[in-house]
Amino acid sequence: MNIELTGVTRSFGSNKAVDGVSLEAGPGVLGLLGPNGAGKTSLLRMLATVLPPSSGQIRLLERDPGRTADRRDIRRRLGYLPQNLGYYPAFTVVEFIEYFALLKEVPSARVPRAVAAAVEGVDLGAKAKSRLRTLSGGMLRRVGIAQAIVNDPDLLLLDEPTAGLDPEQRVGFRALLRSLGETATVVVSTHLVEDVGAACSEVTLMDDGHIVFRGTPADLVTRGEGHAIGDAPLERGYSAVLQAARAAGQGAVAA
Amino acid sequence: MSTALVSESAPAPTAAPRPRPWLLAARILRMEIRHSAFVWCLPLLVVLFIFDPYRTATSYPALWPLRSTVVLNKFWPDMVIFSAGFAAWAGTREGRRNTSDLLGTTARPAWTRQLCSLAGTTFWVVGAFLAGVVAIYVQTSQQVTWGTPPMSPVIVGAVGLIMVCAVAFTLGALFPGRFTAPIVAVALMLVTLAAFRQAVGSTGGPIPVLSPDGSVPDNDYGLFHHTTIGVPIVQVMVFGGITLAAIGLLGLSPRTGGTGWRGALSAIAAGGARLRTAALALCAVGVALLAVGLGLAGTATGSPAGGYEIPSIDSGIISKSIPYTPVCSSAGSFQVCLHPALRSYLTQVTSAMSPAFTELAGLPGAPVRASEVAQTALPRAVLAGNGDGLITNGVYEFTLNNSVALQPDPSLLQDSFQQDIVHAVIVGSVGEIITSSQAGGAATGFQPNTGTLAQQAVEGGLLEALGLQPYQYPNPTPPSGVAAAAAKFAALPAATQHAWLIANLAALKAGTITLAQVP
Repeated sequence: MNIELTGVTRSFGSNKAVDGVSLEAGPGVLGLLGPNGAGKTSLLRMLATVLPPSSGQIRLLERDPGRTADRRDIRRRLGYLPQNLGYYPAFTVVEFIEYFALLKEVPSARVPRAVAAAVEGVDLGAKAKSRLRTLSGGMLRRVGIAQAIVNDPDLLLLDEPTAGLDPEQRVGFRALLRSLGETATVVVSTHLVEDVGAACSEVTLMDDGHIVFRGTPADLVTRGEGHAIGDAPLERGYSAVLQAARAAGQGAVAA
Repeated sequence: MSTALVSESAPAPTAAPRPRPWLLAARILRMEIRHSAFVWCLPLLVVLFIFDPYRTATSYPALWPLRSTVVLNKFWPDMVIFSAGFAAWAGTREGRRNTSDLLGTTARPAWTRQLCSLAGTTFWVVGAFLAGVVAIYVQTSQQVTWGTPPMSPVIVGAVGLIMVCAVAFTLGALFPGRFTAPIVAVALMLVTLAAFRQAVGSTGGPIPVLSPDGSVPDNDYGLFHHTTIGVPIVQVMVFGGITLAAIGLLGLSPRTGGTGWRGALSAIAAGGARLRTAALALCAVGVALLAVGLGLAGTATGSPAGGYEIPSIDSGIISKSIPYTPVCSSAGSFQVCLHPALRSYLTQVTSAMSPAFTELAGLPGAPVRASEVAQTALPRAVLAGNGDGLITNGVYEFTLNNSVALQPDPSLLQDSFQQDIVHAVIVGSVGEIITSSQAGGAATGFQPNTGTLAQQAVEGGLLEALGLQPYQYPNPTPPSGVAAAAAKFAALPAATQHAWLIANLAALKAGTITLAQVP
């Protein structure tokens, strides 16, 4: 398993952002759905090794991120796109991605090829030498995705990756996700259920720090049959699960 | 607790080939150098350099010890505010640009990338400083006649700027914010100014010794005496210590990711035990160097030749004179010799002394030779700026420091030497520094040797005959009758003056001739 969480809790003061979550995931694309404040970003930051859990155990890529040597090894094989991408405006696209390739310890000889592949992967070849300050929001998002995949990660964590992408780019990106998911574990946190339906092999729904649903997108659609709220089948499933979970008092809901 | 499971098992962990850390750091450094914001201030620095340090240096006499003072006195303080501001700006980058989370997921410790960023700014700062020094030194090398360019101001200045960058960068990394850079820049500039004021005011304690722009050696250093190495060594120790401590602190910085105390602790731990140990060791070495340096600076004593010396380091060095072959010129029956570094002044000094030598030639005690000596070889009264020298065994020993220190003026040079020589022959010493006990403690002051009224009249007459003003005592108003006697003596033919002086100079100097007896 690339991801093994056991009873993971993360508190900020008295607020439990993530509350006793257990999760296992191997290669594939895992969609992480949930309303605002459900704990998706906190969970992703813990998976990204930038936020330690308050309690519980995390194993990533069969290593313990609490140990320095393991954590460094995990980070070499990890890609992460945060919700708000910080960037250096004076860097060009290639430089920014190369910067991350070097920090992720991609072997020097492989860096130019890896950078070129990442740039092409997000269809930014024409803008490779443009400074980041000149790019639109959607292009910057693609730069963020490129830096996340430059080290050919075994564990890829994407927080709202399609925000700001136009429909054509979104379609292309979903294809990229499916391709990456064939060998790596890709966790996509999103509000957009159509992304989940199109790209994810599994879906996990969080609410109030708990996982309230796990299964395939088809399972989620099934859960929404007969539910009135929502325009699309996945939205109806999403809404039905949340409603049921809240009615049941935040208990775990099996697929 | 809830559980989710996504199918299939993970691939076995692969052992990725590890890149060479130095190669990796070099590539990151290259990017940081390319993107350092310091480059933007270079045009402004160039203008500032031309109008301040460079112009000042070129206005000084072409002496290595004098011109090199500009490096620390003018150029260094000019660089501090820019270096501090841009280093702090670079330090705040991750906080300002909100990249801490993203960078926190990379394999290299935060320390690596921060050190690369610091090095990128420092590269330009030190590069700009060295380029300025090279410009001053190349220009000077085309004019100097003796000596080699002093390296200690360059080393102290460079290490001092590296310290400024390290401290400012660390402050920026610890307190990232929009206003951090200007605040740090102004604060470090004020610290520099405060240290300079203490150095100029000679308030005592280690600060004046450590202030780079305040530790200017006396002119004799580098010409007659070896420059003391104690102060530069202590400065490098202290600046290096602060640099290492700041860099170590950067390695322990909780701002490398995470929020709150738990985030801070986890961030400190993020680099692992080896990194923590290295950072702590650097901090410890830095603090130790700082402590030793401050301790040594506290032992500094004022050197007789000016500036400071550290007894435990400079012992024996200060007294060592630099061997040199003087350059001499002959005019009539007398000879003038100067230090070879001042060769360009030889003609000017010779012509400035010539009338007085000619006027006094043949008189008992009149000099037949003038030789430049170190200031320390002259009495304290001369060291304090009263006159230029004294006559010893027929040799007028003088210093050029009081005359050409910064802005040589040919007419002043002429007046100064001729008055000095006439006074030495007719009256004697310029005076002495006396120490008297007062209610508030001991007080020192200059007691001029004005001579008798007859001596003043003869001296004034000779100077008037040479077309010069009377000798400048602290009270320039001559006593009643002296001016008239001086004018009368000046009106005598030169041969008559000379004959009277040959016959009466011994009695005049002994004070047995009255004003009325002066012809």
